[in-house]
Amino acid sequence: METHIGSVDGAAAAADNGAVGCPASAVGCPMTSARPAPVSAGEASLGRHLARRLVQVGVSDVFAVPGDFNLTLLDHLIAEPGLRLVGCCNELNAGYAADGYARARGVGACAVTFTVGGLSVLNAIAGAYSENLPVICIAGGPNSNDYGTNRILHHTIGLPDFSQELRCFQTVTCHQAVVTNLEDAHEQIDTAIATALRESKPVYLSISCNLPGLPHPTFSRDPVPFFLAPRLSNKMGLEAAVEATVEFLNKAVKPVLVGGPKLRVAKAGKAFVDLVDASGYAYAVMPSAKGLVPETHPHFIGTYWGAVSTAFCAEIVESADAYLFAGPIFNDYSSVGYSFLLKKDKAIIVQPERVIVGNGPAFGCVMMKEFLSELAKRVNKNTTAYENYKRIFVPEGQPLESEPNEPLRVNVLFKHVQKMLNSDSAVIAETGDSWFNCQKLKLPEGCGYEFQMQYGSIGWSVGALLGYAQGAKDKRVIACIGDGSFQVTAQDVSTMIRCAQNSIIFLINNGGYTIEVEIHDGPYNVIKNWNYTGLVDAIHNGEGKCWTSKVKCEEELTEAIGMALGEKDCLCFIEVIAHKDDTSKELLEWGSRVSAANSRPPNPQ
Amino acid sequence: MELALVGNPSNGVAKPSCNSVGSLPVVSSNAVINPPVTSAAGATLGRHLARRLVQIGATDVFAVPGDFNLTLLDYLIAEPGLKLIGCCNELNAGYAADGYARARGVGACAVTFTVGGLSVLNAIAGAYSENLPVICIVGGPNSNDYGTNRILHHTIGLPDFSQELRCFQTITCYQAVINNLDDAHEQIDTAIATALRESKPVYISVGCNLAGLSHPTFSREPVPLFISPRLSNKANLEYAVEAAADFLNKAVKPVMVGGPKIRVAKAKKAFAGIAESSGYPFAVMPSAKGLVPEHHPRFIGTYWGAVSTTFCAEIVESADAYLFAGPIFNDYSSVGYSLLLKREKAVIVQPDRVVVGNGPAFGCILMTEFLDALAKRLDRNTTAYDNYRRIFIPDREPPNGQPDEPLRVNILFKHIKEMLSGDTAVIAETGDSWFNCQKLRLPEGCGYEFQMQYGSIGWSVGATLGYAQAAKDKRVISCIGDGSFQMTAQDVSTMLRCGQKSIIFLINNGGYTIEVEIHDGPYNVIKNWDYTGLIDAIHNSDGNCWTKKVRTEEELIEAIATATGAKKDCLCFIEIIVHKDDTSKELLEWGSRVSAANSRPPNPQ
Repeated sequence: METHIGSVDGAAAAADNGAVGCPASAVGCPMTSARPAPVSAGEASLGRHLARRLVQVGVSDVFAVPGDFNLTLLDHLIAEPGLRLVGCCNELNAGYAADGYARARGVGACAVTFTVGGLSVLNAIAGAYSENLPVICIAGGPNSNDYGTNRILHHTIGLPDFSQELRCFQTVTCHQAVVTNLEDAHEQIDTAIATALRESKPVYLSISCNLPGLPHPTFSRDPVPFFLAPRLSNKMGLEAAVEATVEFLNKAVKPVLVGGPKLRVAKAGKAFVDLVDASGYAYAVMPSAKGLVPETHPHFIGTYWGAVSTAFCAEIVESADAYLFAGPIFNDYSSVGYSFLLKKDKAIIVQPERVIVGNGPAFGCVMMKEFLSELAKRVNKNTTAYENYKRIFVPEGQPLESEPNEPLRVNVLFKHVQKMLNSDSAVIAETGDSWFNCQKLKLPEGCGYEFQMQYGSIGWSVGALLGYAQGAKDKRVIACIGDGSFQVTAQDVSTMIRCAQNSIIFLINNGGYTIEVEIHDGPYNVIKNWNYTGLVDAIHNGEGKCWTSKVKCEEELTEAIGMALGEKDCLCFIEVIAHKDDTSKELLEWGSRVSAANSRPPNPQ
Repeated sequence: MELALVGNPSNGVAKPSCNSVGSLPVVSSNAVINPPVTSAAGATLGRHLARRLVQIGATDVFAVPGDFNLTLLDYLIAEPGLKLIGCCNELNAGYAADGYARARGVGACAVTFTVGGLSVLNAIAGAYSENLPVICIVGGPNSNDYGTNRILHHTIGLPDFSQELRCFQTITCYQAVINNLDDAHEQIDTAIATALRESKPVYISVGCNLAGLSHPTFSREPVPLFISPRLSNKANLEYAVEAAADFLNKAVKPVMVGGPKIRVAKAKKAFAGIAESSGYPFAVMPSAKGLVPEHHPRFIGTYWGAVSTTFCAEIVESADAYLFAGPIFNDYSSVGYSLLLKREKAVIVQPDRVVVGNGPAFGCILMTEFLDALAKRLDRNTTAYDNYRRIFIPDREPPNGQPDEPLRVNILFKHIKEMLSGDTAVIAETGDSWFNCQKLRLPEGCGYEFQMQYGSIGWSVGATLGYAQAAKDKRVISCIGDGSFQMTAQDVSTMLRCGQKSIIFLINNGGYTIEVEIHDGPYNVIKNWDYTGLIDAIHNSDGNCWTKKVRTEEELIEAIATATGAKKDCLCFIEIIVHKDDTSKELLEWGSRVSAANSRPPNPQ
């Protein structure tokens, strides 16, 4: 989903001007746009400015955990019409929720307290960094007078130096603003938020606890909507890159396209589809990019994931004599422990701002979106690879029909999940075997799909589900969560019920950390078996709308799904009891390859 | 508890110090016991680390598996005498290592790379604030991946994967990144020895391909660590004692106050000694509860400014000289900087430093030696204590509950007080439990733990798990508020798996009460769970667990009788339902003063 922040219309004019360093007000200045309304004196406070800015960029829900350093700030966030404060059970989940929200809305925010809160949300913010999500992480800071003193504050590690939180966030955010005075606060807040949006990365914003309620003349008008200078290609570089690529591809006999995860940050999903249509190439998706390319298109051949690809997909990709990867990340997981059979000299790698053709040349300052659009106009139509695919393709077999009362198999479960999907639904896949099972779902047009493959922090899905569902009210979200992951972050089902969300959670109870079992087994992969529906019932406690069910066979599953689809405004929690060893075949293969990569002996020095 | 881990100091180790720097230590070879040789196959890095942990007393390691630490965990499990305890999430594993270190003198946890490390960070920061030697072990990347351009999973997607290390640099006293075998022996030993010497947490990252490899350096059993004792500068000690004795012997009604750094100075006994011989009355700072003998007749309670035990602040603040042993004056312990103390009347004794009045200061002096020497030089003076006896009126007992009257918090703590003995320990969660538990008069030998400097809510669940695992001889009684419990509830599961028999009082008052008293708002209200139902669902009939909801005094008496009688071998979880506004009077006073300190307006620049 594209974010709409400020107007980008005046941008072209600004760029024509070309001069660097001339005052921004000279060009693109919103002379025509409505003047920002003056705000009443009581609202001209730092807290209200931040609140209004958040609403303006599209954050209408902030995920928060209160603490004495952020309480005044929270008051001002609550006071803002159009902004809702969602109290979470802990900071990690608040951060994951902001991640999920940013996936649905284009931007997300969370608010925590100093250090004890900040260090707990850190892992979630690192995850957002890995997924290029603009998450604004707001931490209440110490009283501004305590900076530079020798005092020891509570919620610190007991030294007069209390910079630890800031230093930790420096490693996992693209910008940090520590607001300790009113004079610069307006600029610091705006710079932080604008940087998050421009870089599509999380930022850290620390606000001293004594400042949110104070007025300052800089806050006396409604904030002017941001004008973010668009990134533009170097026209010459673009032209050269397109020319080199066209030459490369048009010479190829059976070229293919593969979509990667950075299509999201490049906002190039549509440009990619245009190229598919114009070129007639077969196209695949990298596992971490699922949901970013349409799967209903006839030329879509599935997931390219080395040895665990969709049937016939790897064969077509790896046998092609040219492949264009749009926004790929080749890490050890997505490359199945570095086991890809790809050749650099056959590849065109298109990154958000960069293109590399074969073994050389590289072109910088080329925007993916513009590049793909230009390419679509120039490339010759070539359906050879697709026709080859059609020739060898044999449709996948269906899982065996269940016997009456046969214990439920995972492949049967996902057969039914598949049938639930439509353009009004979205899938959240937790790290673990759900990656592999959900990867095989064929997404109907418009069906959302989210997971966290690069960072792969288990427990992410509970918070992310909370945030995504809050951000995408038009969708019914279906989450597939393993029991081991659920135990990490289970508590925030509570917040989903408080927010009256109607998601459907499939809790897959197979008695342990299955993904780790397949990489490397040991007694540590066995977890305590909880009564998961009992747990959710206890959290529900008769307040709010929640329905739970345990299913052990296909009949029960069918009935439960029927109920869940009928209970349209109710959180539905379905505990699916599966056999410990009932995993996707892809996990087995992938697990042994990742294990081999992890245990490579040290190179001789 | 004192650490008894170092080798025999009579092994001639003082000798080498007479040589100049740089020369090899001269240790007569016959003084060293030759450690037994391990079999070549067993001479692995993982096993060395495991043995070392057992040797220093960390016989339980709190772990969350992940693909970067699985091989290492195999070696920890294989070690006889070492138990691996799988926790539900990393934050709780860290808190458990904190609780374990409080009981044993050292604790350890093991998590996976970055996604695990950044989640345990907050707990390690808490251990730093409390001077606890916690060894935080992280499975790191394959050693061959250092210095390459590869992007690894569980990272933020950059070839630079140093974020975890850089975060730990801010909150640990030493960091060892092990990516080769040659230096591993030294790195592991240095890290562990540093943790013990500094009494602070350390970070050890072990490349995931190294744990199973053998190396000649590991071929013998590790020789027990010898940690050079810290010694006072004798001349300085003499001056300091003389100056302090002069100062105190001139005073008419001197008093003593114990502070939290008595723990790290290992000066519990020395403080009790000087308290006995001087005849001064003595108080304890709130954050030092449990470190001074409360059964002593001259113990006058907690000195905590306006929220002190009755008659305690009056005696301390009216004294003409006070000795503070190991104090930390932060904004919480000073009740928003409202203490009425005068520096010129104070002798401040820190673990290795003494300041007398407004000066002079003496460095390189150990608290234990100082207090012992001072005790011999002080004139006995019971004036302040006699004054105290004269004005003292015992606290009234709270009125008994009427039949069926809703249970009051003061009645609850009256009954908890009766449960305490030398075979129990109290864990007090951050929040109103601080104030209620502070008032419990501890019998001799009764443990007492809380986390006042860092004050991270949710700490107590993990800490209870860890403390109970280390102190098998004690029955742990935990007082946890509902808001804190929601943060980290899942690891009650691990207590059950470990067969622990702690008694948890869950105080259900519908919200973050401590925040309510500092600054109220809708964010302080949490969803009400069925807490006993939640525990029953986690229990799921697997393990020994008993739960009960209590609403009146009769029910409470009956529940305590069951928990300490029929269910004494069970984990007992008692949900206490109390009124939202039923808080200690101290919290009310303290809350308004902390709120005032937080909201000090910015100083004019």
